Amino acid sequence: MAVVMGNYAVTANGNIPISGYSHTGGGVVQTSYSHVTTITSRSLTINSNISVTEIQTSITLTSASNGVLIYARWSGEVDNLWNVMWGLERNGTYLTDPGNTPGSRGYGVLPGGDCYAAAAENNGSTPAMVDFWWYDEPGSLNTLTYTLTCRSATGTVLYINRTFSDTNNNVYQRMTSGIMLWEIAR
Amino acid sequence: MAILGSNYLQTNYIAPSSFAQNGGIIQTVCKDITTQVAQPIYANTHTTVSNTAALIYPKRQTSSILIYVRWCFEVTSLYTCNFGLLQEAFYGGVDLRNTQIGLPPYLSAQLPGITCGMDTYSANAANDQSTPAQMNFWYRDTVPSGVQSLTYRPTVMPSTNRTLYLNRTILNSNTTAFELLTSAIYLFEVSG
Repeated sequence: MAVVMGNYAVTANGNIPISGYSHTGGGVVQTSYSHVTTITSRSLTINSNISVTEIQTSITLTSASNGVLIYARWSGEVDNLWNVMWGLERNGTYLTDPGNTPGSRGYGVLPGGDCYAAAAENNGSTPAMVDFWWYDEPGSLNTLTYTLTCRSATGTVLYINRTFSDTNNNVYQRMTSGIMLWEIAR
Repeated sequence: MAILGSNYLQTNYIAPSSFAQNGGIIQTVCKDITTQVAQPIYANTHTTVSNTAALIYPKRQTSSILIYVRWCFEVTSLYTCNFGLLQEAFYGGVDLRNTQIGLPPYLSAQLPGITCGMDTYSANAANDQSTPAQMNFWYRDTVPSGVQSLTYRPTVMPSTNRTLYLNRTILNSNTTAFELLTSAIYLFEVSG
C-alpha cells in the first residue's frame, strides 16, 4: 500500500517523492559507472591530450540546466609519471583546461601518484594510480560521453590496469580503473 | 506509521518504482574510521582489516550499491601490495556468501586488486617508519537476488607476510613527523 501525503511517500529512511517533484538544490538525479578491467596499453604522443577511451562512460541529462559530477580513476604504469598530467574530455572536446595560458608547460587536473619510494623510477613492476572529481555544466540534452585524457611530456606508453612487465609473479599487480557520472540537479 | 511533518510520512512502504529510476540515490551509509590498527596481513591473500567494514540493507532487489573506500596507512613494500573489496552477502539463517568483487583478469601468480596504493615519500629508499600512504577507490556493485544485507570489507593483498598499520605510521612516535590519519567507507544504494 502506498501512503501519500502531499507530493511525498516516505520510507523508513527518508522522504520519497512520487509526483509533481523535481530535484533541486544539488540532489543526485542519476548515476552512471563503468568499471574497467581490460588489461591493455596505448601509445602517448608527446605533449598531446590522448583520449583513454577504455576509461569512458556516457549519460543523457534529464534537464539541460543540470550539472555533471565526474569521477575518474586510472590504475597502471607509465614512464616518467611526474611528467604525466590527467584530464577529461566531453564528446571529444578537452574539458579540464586549467584556465591559464600554459605555453609549453604540461597541464591537466592533476598528476598521478606512485607506490614506490626509491631513488629512481621503476619501470617494470611498480603500479601507479590517479583519481579525481570534476564538475561540468554541459547545457545539453544530447548524450554526453566523458573520457579520461592523459598528457605526457615524453612519447611513451600508458599501461592500463597492468605494470610494464606484467610478469606472472606475485610482485606484479593487475588492477582496475573506472569512471562515474552523477547528474546533479540545479 | 508516524507523521514526521506536514509533507512527510514514516512508513515501511518501499518507494514506488516510478521514483529514482536510472541511478537516484535511495540511502547512504557512511563510516569514518579513526581507530589505529596494527594487523598482520598474509602473502597472496585478500586480507580484511578489523573495523573497516560497512553494512547495508538494500531497499530494492533492483538496486546497485556504490562503494567508496579510503585507507590511510603504512605498510612495508607498498609497491608489492594491492587493494580490493570483499562482499559478504547474507541471505538469512546461516546462508552467508563471500565474494571478492571487482577484480581484473590476472595471471595465476599475480596480485589482483581494484587499485594500488600511493606513497608520500620519494627518496633514496623506502621509509618504513614515518611515511604514510593512502589508497582509495569507488566501485559499483549489483545487489544479489534474494539478499537481506550486504557487508563490504576492504582488503589488502601483499606479496609476503607483513603488518598493515591503519591510520598510523609504523613507529607512531610522539613527534611532529609521525602522522595520525583517518580512513572511511561509504555506501550508497542507487536505484536501478
